[in-house]
Amino acid sequence: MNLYYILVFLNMILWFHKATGFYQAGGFFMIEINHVSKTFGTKKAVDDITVTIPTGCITGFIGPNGAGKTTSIHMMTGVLQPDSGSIKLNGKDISKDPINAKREFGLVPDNPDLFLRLSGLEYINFMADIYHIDTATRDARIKTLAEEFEIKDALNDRMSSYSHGMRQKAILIATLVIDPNIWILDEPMTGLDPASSYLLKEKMKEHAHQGNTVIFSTHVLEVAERLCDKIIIIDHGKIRYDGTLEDLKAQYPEKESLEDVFLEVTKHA
Amino acid sequence: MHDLFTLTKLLFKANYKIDIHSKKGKQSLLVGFFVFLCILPSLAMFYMFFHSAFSTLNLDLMILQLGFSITGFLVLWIALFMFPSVFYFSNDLNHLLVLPVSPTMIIFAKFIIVYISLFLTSLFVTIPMLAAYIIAGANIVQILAFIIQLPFVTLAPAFIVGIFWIIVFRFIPFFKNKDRFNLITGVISIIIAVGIGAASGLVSGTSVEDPAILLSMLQKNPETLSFLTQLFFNIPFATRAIVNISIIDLALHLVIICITGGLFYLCSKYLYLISATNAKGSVSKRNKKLKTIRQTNPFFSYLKIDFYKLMRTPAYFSNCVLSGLVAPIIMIVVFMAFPEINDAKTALASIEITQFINLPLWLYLGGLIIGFFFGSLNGISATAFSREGKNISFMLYIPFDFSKQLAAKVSLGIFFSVLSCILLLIPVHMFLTYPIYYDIAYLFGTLLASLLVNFLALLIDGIHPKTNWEDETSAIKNNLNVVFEFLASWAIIVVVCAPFFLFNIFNHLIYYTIFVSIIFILIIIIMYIFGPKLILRYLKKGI
Repeated sequence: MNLYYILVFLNMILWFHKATGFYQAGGFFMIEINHVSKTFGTKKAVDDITVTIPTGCITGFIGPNGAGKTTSIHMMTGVLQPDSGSIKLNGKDISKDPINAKREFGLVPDNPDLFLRLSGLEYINFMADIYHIDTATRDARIKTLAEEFEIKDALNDRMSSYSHGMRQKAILIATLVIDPNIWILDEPMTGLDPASSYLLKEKMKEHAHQGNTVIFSTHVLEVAERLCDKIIIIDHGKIRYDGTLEDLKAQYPEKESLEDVFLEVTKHA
Repeated sequence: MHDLFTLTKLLFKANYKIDIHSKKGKQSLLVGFFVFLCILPSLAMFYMFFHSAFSTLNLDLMILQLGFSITGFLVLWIALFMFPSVFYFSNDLNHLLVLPVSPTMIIFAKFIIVYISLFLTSLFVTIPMLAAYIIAGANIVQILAFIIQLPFVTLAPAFIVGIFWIIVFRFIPFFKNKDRFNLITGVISIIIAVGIGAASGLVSGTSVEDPAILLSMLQKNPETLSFLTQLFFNIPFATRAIVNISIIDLALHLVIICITGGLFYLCSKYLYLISATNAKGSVSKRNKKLKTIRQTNPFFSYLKIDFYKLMRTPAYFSNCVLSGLVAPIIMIVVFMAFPEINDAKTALASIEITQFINLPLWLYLGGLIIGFFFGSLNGISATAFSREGKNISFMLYIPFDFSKQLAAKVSLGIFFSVLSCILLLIPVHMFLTYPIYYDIAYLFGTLLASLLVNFLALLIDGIHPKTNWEDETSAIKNNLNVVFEFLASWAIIVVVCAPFFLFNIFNHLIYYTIFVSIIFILIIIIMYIFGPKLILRYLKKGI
């Protein structure tokens, strides 16, 4: 009888943690991808992948061209509907509760050519409106980030007059202003000058350190090697590796760099 | 010459190649065929005009000069807009300049591409004219001389336009902004369209099928033809070479072309590159002060952004906003230019029209019909998703309800549709005198029709958007969704009006109107409820 009451009490504590969100704090999973598949015609772009991405870490999502990275990101962000499986962001199912799930992340797409007819400031404020960021908060964040990324003088200009790197900065600032729990960054360093690239990496570390989640895809493996706590390698629609960088290197002790390991992993895929 | 040929082939493939095996290629062919069918009556009209003129009047020289002058205006008109697009605002110049070919080769390769378009366009006038000339009894030498002149008649105006733009872009920096250029040329096109509409109204009673009247007008006003031949100074030589079979005139024509070509070569060599590499889309204003933008409701923020994109993109502004407004404006101008308007107005003012008909009902019905017709002219809802292009996935990953996004998009289309219809009240009030509050019935009719036609257009574009484009103009031009919207509107008009002719329901008009209105409201409700889910399913499949 005492054992029964102990078990009931433990279940209540577990339920309480899940209900109040303690479940998500430090070490719990911010992104859960369960047996997700996606087929286009006869081609299986993503084949039954199961991945969990915890809080408090930076996860690198790497793979060759056509591996299924973009498809996976599209499914994670609600752009594509998986043929099977489920995806949860901070406990919210992207298919069943899309609006609330989408509030959990901010996406920096690989192509920054968005809304070129708007000024950088107009785009950032538009995103802030969509994510319900109040005036005072957004104003303070915009001013700070614009100074840090050295784009303050250009924010009133149309994004069509920006270089590729400046557009990338404007898109990044918009994501940082809304400050979601999850950052999903698709090739975020492309076009950024060294100072901005360094600044972004510092911000990614800071965001993860605060108990949030950063997942980014990149082809520049040196950056992934220096930045990531966790690595996911995808190839031909399947997950080839999902774990820490240290464990991955331990599996291939003869390989010196992540690049060498990656080539080895994908060679046998 | 090898470099020139290689470059020309490359540019030709980039500009004109249609892969007939691909879906897009087949669509382009279909659109081209449809456009050709629409142009056929004009070709027939030109043939009839020239045939009558050649057969009845012994003025071959004057008729040929008139024909070639029309061709010259057509070429001038197209070249004025095409040259800057190809020479200054295309994205290929930076890629071509790094190749081991001289800039002169690049310029002439681009000129050949422009010339091909101009030549093909000129055939719309010259082929019917040639056919009429042959039927009218021209001898074989004259026919050969005509055919030889065909490619040369358009060359001189093309060179002149090229020289004009090279000088303008080199010395007047104002036009180097592509957006500004496209906006100004779009507005000028509209103004000229309105002007032609007004002019056709002023020339009342004139039939273009009766050449004798037109030619007598020219004979009475020879300075008009003299002006045309001075403007196109190569045409008298070209026409005399044909009619008089004059080798000297042919040689002089070729000399004129060589001179204009030489001037074009010099201008392009010394003036073109420096301005072409500086032409850009938009310039930085460097307004450094960051103003605070207050938090807004997401729906209004989304609507505002969509509105900005529509108004700030010259291609969308000209082809969607202005094109929808130009038809009512033309009607207003034509009505005002119509000489008998005052007489008609006086006659109608003496009649108490409300005593004869149920004016509010007829205004409501009129608003309904006009709403279907003019409401579908702007193509805003029919290109709502196409205009997003490759960034359409943005709509799917932001945390903003998809139904509300659609509501914002369709609101823009409805606004401009209703605006077009409201403008038409101006000529109506010029003819009829009635209490202005009767127009509320008209507004209800236009609003109902605009809601239906715009929801339908949104559905059409949502199910099959054209998102794979490189240039914003491509998002709306050759977009079959706009055509489908227009056809659907016409089909609805036919279905609504058919019972009037088939069953003579004038005695039960009010009941029929109520019945039709209820059906429309039900259709709108069904589209509002199920449309977003259907569109979302298709969009997610397509990405």
